[in-house]
Amino acid sequence: MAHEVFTDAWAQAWCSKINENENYKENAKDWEWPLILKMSGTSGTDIAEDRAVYVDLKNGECLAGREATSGDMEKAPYIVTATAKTWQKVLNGDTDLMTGIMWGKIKLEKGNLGAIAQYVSAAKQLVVSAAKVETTFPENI
Amino acid sequence: MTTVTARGLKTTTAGGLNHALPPMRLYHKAKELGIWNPKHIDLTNDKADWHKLSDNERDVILRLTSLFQAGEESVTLDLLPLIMTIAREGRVEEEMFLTTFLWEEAKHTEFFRRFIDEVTGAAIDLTPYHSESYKQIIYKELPDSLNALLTDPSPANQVKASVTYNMIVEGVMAETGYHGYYAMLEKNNILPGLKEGIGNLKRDESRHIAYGVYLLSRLVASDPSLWEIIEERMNTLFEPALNIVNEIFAPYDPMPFNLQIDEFFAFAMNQFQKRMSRIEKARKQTIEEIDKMDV
Repeated sequence: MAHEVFTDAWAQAWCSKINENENYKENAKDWEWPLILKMSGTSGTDIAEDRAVYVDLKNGECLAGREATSGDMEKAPYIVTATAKTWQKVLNGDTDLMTGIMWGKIKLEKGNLGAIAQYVSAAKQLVVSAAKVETTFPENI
Repeated sequence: MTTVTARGLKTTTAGGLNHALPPMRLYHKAKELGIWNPKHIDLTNDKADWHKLSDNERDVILRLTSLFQAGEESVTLDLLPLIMTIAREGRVEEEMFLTTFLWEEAKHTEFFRRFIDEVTGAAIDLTPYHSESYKQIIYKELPDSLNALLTDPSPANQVKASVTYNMIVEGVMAETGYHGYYAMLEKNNILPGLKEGIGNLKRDESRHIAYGVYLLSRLVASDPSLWEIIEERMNTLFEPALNIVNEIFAPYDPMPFNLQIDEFFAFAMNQFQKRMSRIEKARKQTIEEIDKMDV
């Protein structure tokens, strides 16, 4: 079933795909922090407001996935932000998450680059899992 | 009598050499700055320092040195297909710079081996220090992408080769590594000869990377669709390149010399962003504009 990108249902589906991903389990054994992906809104497009999804990640498992609340935004140690177009490229496999961060096309709004770069392979698998979610994007992004 | 047709050799035409081209400007810099001799660096104090280091400190220095040593040998061995490609296109100014480039890589190879032989006395095989991600790039991606030019020197393959060689191996791995290594030696006030050599290496490498930025910009200005190949190649190589840093730090707790992994990544990101935004600009530039770029 398809879900619109960065919605509550999409986040739950992403969490399930993370738990089905053996390569993620292998590479994220020591990762134990929640993560938020944020899509910055652009006025005049179908995503005018910011959207954000939260996944609670611990030792290779996703414990919960949801649309991020303001409390999540405050507590999560990592917030990764990009435009809808960039996230579309990430989910299509045209842009790698860490490459995008190093390039500056994707911003690490909150969190330490050195810490996240130590989990570059786990980060890649998070995106692999997200790409497995049947995703729809609004037409005008 | 057989008539031999003209080759169009540039230096005997009215125009002669174009000294304003970025690679020609780099060539002139190399003649001034790249003439240091690895044999003339004094390693006397390094030998004394080496004996004072702890086992873990020696281990991390041998590890880093083995990565740089093999990296320099690889870039020396693997550059020729690119030089041949440039020569066949008749770009004499670029080839003139590339002759300094190859010579400098050879000196870097000599320098690290001299340090190993004369300071560490390590008559042992250092290849076990090469981690999986390191091997993926240095043993496979680098030679494969350069050797592909021998059978298909297309602009697309030139882009793949230059991204691998100049942007990843030199621009991310070597430059970041040398920056961290140099800072570590300076902060701890040890191994002055090694530090001097790495200081020279850093200066040489900055010219090599500048050439890579020029080459990629020239190729992208000629055909903006090549930009996609740069992105694709980066997406493939960034993960192993970053993992090399992780694999250097993994065996140590605490890391000797108080080396900080964050500093490595922050430096790599800063340098990488500057270069990539320069190359990205070339999508909308003419060759004439590229030929005026700062190097």
